[in-house]
Amino acid sequence: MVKLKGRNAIVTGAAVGLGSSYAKALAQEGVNVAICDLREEIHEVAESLRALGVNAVSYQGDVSDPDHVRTVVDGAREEFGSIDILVNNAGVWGASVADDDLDKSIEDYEQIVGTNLKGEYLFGRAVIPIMIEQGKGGEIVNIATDHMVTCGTPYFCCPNLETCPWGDSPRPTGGGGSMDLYDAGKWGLNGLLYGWAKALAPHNIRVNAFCMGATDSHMLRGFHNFEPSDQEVVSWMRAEDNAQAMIDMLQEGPFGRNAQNVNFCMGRPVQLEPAHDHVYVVPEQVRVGESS
Amino acid sequence: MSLSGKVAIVSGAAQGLGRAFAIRLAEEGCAVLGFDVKKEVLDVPGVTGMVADVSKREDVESVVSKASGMGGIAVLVNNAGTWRKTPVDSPWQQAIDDWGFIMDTNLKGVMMLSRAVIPFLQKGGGHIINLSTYYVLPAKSDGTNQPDTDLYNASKWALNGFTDAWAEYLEKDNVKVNGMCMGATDTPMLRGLFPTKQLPAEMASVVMKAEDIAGQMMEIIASGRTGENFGAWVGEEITIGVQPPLHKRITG
Repeated sequence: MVKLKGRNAIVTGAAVGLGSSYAKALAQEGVNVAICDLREEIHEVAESLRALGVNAVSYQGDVSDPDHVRTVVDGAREEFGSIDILVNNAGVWGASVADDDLDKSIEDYEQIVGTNLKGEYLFGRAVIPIMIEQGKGGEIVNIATDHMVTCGTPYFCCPNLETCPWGDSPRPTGGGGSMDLYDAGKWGLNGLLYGWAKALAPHNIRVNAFCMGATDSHMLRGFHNFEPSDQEVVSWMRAEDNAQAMIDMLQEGPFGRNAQNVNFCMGRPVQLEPAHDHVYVVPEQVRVGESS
Repeated sequence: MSLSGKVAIVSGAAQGLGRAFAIRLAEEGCAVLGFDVKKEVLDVPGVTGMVADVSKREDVESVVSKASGMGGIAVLVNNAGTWRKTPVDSPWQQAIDDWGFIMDTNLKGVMMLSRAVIPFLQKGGGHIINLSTYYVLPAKSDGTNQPDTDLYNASKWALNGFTDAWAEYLEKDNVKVNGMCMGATDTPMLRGLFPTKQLPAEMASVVMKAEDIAGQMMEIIASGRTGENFGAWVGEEITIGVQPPLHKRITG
């Protein structure tokens, strides 16, 4: 287990929800944190991080704007001297359906795909050359969704598949008919995950993703008009628990898992699942178009 | 559903797979509108050609306007795609330009064209085919293709979101939505990867033929299945096989 104390991280979308939990958990481990968000509350979060005894800087802006990304990354490097960890968390949700008109759709594309895929792309591409130049490895974690995984029988080989208590209730992929742009952006993260992990492994830079199911967060409460029932809230995962899993994964260090989608599905314990042996292994090599 | 007399739209129809799809659909009796940024699209036999860029909204609207004047639209093949290497340590401005170059065609273009066509498909049912790559299927892939193709891969992975959501949303309208995840096919895009623009001999002897893939597309359409990614692998029979369980339809 490697120590995180004294390292420097960037967490995007850190004003609320998972992002603020990640930033707080990192600060509690002694990691200096640069944070950004659309919301001006981001500055208060930085204040609370500094109260934990670390250096923290905050930036208000839009991750789909390349100039903002440059400002955050260059600012963090100048403030901390290096960037060791990137948590690509900023994301937005909006309903979009197949027969929306073009005006709305183009606006949605720029906002949803712009934040959830382009934003993560830009932050990764801004940080990667810096991490390579530093020559001391690094960690990139993208935040994705459980819409991409079939919890119960993950399409990655689950080491415990034979005994998986959720194995009898596999779920299809997808978040439903009104999430086409949200899901497209999140699926697209797989391209970054695998492409970056492959290219960066020689530099000891790991790239992984958390595929998040329903977590008590600003975004999820927003689905419920900020009036979720107690029953719903109890069923959701807690952001603090997920942040602990993030710390656990970062502490694996350069020889830990790489190029993996780590699943966090509602109803399962919120903990880091065992590393998979391979990125893609399906037990019986089942393929689309073949009987299984 | 018989396709005879129905209108089909094929993007990127000047060459390779798109050309083969357009010709095959015309042979099946469709009135086919094929478009491409390349003017060779005007010479595809049996196909109404149009020079247009799927990444440009005005062009997309012109294409759909023209197609709707040809009759009832029943098929949309989202085939147009672009490719270039996008190294992870590219200079910043290059990284920004690469995003637009790849995504405006491969993802935003697919969305815009589909959004414009879908209201017509909803009138009488129909089919959408999204062209993807076998990298997005787990069984024979590590999730990437060549090094330095993060954005191309991202654009193709992202189509899973469309195929999944559209299949579910458009079920009520009898519109079927599927992905075709292509392995190496003898196309100008593949040839373009090699310095001589020719396939190496060992590859030329095994790669799939665009005409055979067009046959697979017709099988998919005839099957009436929806919400699936269909793979096609070099060296194996090109077929659609038996429908997998729901949770494996996209991921394989």
